[in-house]
Amino acid sequence: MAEIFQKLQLYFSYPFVWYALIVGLLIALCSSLLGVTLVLKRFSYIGDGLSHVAFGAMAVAGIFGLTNNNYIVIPMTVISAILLLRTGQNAKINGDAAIAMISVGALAIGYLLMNKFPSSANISGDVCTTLFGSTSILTLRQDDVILCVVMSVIVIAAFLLFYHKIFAVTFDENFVRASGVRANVYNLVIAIITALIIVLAMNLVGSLLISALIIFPALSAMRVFRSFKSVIICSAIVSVVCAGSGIFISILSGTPVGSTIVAADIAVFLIFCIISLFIRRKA
Amino acid sequence: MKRKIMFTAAILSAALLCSCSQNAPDSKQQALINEIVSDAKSVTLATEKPAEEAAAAPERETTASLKKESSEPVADYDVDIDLTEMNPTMIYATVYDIVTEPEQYLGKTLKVNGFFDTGYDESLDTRYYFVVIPDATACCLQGLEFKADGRNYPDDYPETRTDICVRGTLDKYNELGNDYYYIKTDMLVET
Repeated sequence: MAEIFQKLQLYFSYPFVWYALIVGLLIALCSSLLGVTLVLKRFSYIGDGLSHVAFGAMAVAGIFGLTNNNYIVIPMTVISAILLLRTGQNAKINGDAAIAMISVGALAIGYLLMNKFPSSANISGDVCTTLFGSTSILTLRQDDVILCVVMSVIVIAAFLLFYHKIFAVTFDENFVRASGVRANVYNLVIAIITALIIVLAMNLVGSLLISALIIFPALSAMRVFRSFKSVIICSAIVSVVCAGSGIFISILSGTPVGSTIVAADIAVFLIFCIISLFIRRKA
Repeated sequence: MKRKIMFTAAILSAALLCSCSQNAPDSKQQALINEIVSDAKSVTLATEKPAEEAAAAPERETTASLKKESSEPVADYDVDIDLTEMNPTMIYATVYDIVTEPEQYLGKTLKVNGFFDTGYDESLDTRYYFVVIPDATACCLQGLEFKADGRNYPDDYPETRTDICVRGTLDKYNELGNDYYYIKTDMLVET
């Protein structure tokens, strides 16, 4: 035990470990807040689709050689989120087909561009890092952390500010429209927040594992709690605890950060499933 | 609603156009590292050699200097950053930090395990030596340049792709107007 504390003390003497922890916890909190809404709106898979768009955008950013990929990745992901969430319902190609089309299309184009215009000699390394997050959370710079903190504050503020409207849009969009509230505007807010979270989460778990970060905490909370508010609070706690423990385990044992966090999320989901079985039996 | 979407798209496009582009400074050393990284992907990493292959391989003769070094004990001391005691994830992250923020590590002593590689720049008639460190998934390789005074290539160096341990102080030099960082080694041994 003393050895573990010594190791932690050593590792936390490096600023990049603190950066990873701060960004990891913030991303986990933001993704859990929106996860409940997305799961209830049956848009669980949108995280996957948008993360693939972000991957494609990252490849495009690599061609331009920008100092910060987010200048291209954020706008492209936000536009895709708006198209998928907002216009998807009225378009000729809608729902899961639109998500699948954009998802695989962006992934293919992204990989094609990465191969044709490599930004570094190690293409497989770049792809590995972008898809699985490899160690990217531990390679964040101070600017990345500031950007993440600012975006997280925007996401949390927007969620708290529009909490009641998001709640209404999540459960009954038609009723919201009938009562004179502009549901489209709030769908747009959800789309933009979703895109921002996806871009942030790519650093933490990579684009292939983002869906897990959005879905698992929400589903875990739904096993035990029933009200929207309690599910969101529980989801946030589960997500933050899993992200924190995942980061600790991975820096201590040398496992990849992203998949360790997702493994922790899966473990908690199973525990909550068992708890819900006991609760049902008692009831 | 279409207007709103168009408006949002216009704002985002403006933000995109405002972004600035800056190319990384031209670095001969970086080009050599990239070349080494590309080459390394086409060969099996020394650390990943199958057991049968390792057993079947003839025992390679250690170079004269390395033999000499092993017979003459090297003074041991506590280094500031001992990468040999870290797990692969932390090694990768630490080396990345050293490469991107070298000024913070200048003058610090470090000990690194990796494999040896070298590159030659004809225009400068200079040979560069690297300790290449793969990450946990072996997809991302990073190289740190080192210099060992009093050694001649190839006699006093191990064969390329040989696992080595390098210890020394992070120092810098200027070449063609650019600062480059390297490990000024006081120990170079095969592992």
